[in-house]
Amino acid sequence: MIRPRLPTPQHTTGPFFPAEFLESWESDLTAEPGGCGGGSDSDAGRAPRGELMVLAGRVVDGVGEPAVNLILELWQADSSGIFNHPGDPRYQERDPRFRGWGRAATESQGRYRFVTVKPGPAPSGVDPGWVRPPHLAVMLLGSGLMRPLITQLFFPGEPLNVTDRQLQEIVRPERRARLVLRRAGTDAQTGAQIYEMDFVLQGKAETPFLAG
Amino acid sequence: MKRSRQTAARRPTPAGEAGQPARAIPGYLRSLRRTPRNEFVRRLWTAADLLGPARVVDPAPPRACDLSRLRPAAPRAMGQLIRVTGRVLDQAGRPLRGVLLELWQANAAGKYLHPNDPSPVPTDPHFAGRGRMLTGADGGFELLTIKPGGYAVPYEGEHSASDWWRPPHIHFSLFGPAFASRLVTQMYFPGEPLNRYDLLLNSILDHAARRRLIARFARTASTPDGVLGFRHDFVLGGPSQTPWEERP
Repeated sequence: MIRPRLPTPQHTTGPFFPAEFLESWESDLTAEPGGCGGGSDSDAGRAPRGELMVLAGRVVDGVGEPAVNLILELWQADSSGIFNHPGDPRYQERDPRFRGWGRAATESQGRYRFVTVKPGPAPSGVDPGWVRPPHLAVMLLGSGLMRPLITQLFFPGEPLNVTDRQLQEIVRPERRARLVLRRAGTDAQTGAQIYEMDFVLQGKAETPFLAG
Repeated sequence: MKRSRQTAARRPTPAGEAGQPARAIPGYLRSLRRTPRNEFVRRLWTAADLLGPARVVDPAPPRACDLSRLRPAAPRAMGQLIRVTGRVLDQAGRPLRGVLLELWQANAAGKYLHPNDPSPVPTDPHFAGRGRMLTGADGGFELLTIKPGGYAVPYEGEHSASDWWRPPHIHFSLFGPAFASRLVTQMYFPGEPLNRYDLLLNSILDHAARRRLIARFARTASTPDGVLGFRHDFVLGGPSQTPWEERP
């Protein structure tokens, strides 16, 4: 039997994560320059399927100060609940105009902003009886974070939230509510629905984060 | 407030994460203020964790990366030229192909190409400082660069160490096959006196685990054109399970 190796230890990104790795298209999961890996020329200029949305908010630390220069990585299914990965059985039917992954950094007030589409409900992939509600997987990296902080965000009023085992793993309803996005009007330019999420790294209103 | 911050510093690393660093490190102010205090929520592995972004950048970067100059024929940066070769493996030791590595580091004097770096030491106009590469079919990569310098970490007041120097290190960010296998880490150099005192490296209590962050000097990989060789492998974690497979 092969003894499994331990993974390489994680470390912080430190404060000097290169700006070149935060190109402007990265925070827009519907933008072209990143390449979708599957789109053909005939797809060029077409809007992605589904409901365009903005994910925005702030990150604050344990003393209530904005967490500046923090990196957020967003990973999610498309509007049909398909992940942009060959391991998804419906990969061939995915939206070629949607990258499914993006990255943004917080500015001097701790604010961040993504443009994306609202994901559809997606099979859990581990239990045919478990369909996950629309959700966004988010990873926070940055100075002071020795390990990535991982969590999942949910949409208000989704019936599948009530039976989602991952969300319900959080026992106290007021803690669970901290992972549910807030509707906050529409974007003046695009008309996209804005969903807000403030991440509190530490303290009374601390955001629930997932282990491992 | 002061008392609770100290509590955070004593908080143990969650169990089941052998060989990982502490999250809250005394003397590292930002880790004390940014580390959550509540219990982490049990993670139920589903498609979002078990799959990951297949392509982060386009076009795909090459297997080899040269940070020691801005363009192929351009003048070299100052400092000791080094070549770091290695492989990215899964926990069973299988090579992982197509893993994106992002890397960045200080120049030979210990200064980053970053507006936030307050260090008074010189910049180097010939040094690229950051780059991307993609592992080949053998899981391998090859990095040509200069050895980074150490630097003093600025003192930030109470709860901040006043005599902290970072040893020479290179930052790596790796995108594995799953969202759950994402790795952000740093590579250190063998025999550096500062390694003994570094708050980050030594927050890993296990000696063998610390050693996994230190590259090996490879005399046989050092070449007469003035390049010192180092070897360094990465092991990506995450669940061994893949979604949609039949489970026993």
